[in-house]
Amino acid sequence: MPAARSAIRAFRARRISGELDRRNGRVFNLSAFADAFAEFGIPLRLQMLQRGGFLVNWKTDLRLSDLEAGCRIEATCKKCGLTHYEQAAQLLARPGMRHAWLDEVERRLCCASRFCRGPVRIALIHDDKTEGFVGGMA
Amino acid sequence: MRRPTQIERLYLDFDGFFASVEQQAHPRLRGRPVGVTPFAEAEHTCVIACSREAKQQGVKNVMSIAEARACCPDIILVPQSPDLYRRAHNALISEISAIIPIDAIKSIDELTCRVEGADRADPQRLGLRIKQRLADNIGPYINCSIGFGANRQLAKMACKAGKPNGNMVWRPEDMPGPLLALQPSDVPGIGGRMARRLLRAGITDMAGLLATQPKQMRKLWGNVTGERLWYALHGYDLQAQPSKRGMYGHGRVLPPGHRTLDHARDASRLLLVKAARRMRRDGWNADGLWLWLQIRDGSWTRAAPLRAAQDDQAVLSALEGLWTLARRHLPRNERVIRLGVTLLDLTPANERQLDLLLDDDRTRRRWERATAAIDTLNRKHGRTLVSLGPWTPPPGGYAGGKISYTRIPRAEDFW
Repeated sequence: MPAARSAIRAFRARRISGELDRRNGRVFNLSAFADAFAEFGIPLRLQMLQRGGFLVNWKTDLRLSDLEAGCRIEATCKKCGLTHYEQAAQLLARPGMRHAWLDEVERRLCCASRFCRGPVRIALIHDDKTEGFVGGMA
Repeated sequence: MRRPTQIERLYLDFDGFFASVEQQAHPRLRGRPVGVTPFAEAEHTCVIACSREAKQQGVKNVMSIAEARACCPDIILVPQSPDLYRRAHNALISEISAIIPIDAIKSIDELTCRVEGADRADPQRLGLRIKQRLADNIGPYINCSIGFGANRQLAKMACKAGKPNGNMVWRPEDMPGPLLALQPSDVPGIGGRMARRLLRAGITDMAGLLATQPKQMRKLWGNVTGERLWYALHGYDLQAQPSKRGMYGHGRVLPPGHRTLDHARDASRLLLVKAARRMRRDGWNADGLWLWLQIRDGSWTRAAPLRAAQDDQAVLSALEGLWTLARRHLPRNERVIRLGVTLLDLTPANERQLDLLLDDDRTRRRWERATAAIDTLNRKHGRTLVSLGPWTPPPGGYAGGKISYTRIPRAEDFW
């Protein structure tokens, strides 16, 4: 693991200095880099590397299996605006979704309209955590 | 009752949430004084939220547009976009919950968390992490203030004391020092009327308020809230009791050109169907319906019984009965400024008590099946495709999508 950490630091340093994108006149192979990390048991994902960081947002930070089974995911079509809802437990039962990160889930889902099938933007619903003020007290 | 000796709670409040979300979403508004209004091109209403730049020039929330223009002539007024705020809220909450589990969401721009483990020793670092993450992943124009305290109440007050963009820590060992710098009216839960009552009791400052006894506070408040507030201010682990839902309803200020009885009836039908949809979604039946109309010389209010119903036919029939009464009592040219519909006396949908004399169970079940089919179709198509009777949304949009405390609308509430 220390070797992996030093590799991460080296990667970041190269990214900053611009060495990562082009080396010896040819484009650096990011997927090979991710494979190298996989040898240390670190599941680096290509998309993260392409975006230049190891943590991009909540979608790359959470797996579908991290969500509660009853958690509802709102999927809004980026093309036609149609919103539909999916349940985490039902998505988990689909093939290939067991270990999926939420950004991967977002890419795999599509618009519910059969005439659109456009890409969607996902959001988590947090209704169950809403609480009121009682007599002004939090 | 336990009195924490460490920081246990975090309270986060976004600064000028609506206006800063508008600035984040629309680059042309960044760095400029922005006021959010309920309707587009409405001059006789108020600014419901304003940006930091507008606040610096004296504009306040819930200030009339004329006053806001007088304070800040170059203010940019933008109509509210509840769907944008809802989406921003969802993204922000998701980002924060990737750092720390959220204990409760108090409103669209306020939340509270439990502080655990190593974060208790260095809460400021946790606050900076949250701020950094929001700036990196959402954007630098949505700022938040964070407060840390022994309980939620103190964390909220610390948060308010640190505004804007604060990261304030009130450690239990430092209390009540930071409290003494405040006025009693700065305490959440002490409004104008309560402040006057405290004044009559000889309590003029925080030192006086803190020197009271729990039972004295209870007497001043006239209920247990006063006593609970005393314990909260003295650092005990106390928070608001979870409240039970008692009603589903919607209200609407009608635009000046849509204030006739016919327009008001159409708007009330739509609002009622939306309220009934939410009620069904949460698994409740209602035993009563209440219609409230604000007219020129006061208001008109009536209630109708419902007999544990949740389907659209039942609630719309009851509403029609109320409108028949309203037409009988009100002049034909009456102008309705504002209206509200509320489904009352909720009972769980799976515990329906049948009325032996009415014997309408069979009919109700048929209408419930029809309503469920309508809901399924609308959900599938992501809009109100099928409805019982006409569907005429009032101008201004977002009917039934009002943002309030304890209610963050869903996308389906805007259909």
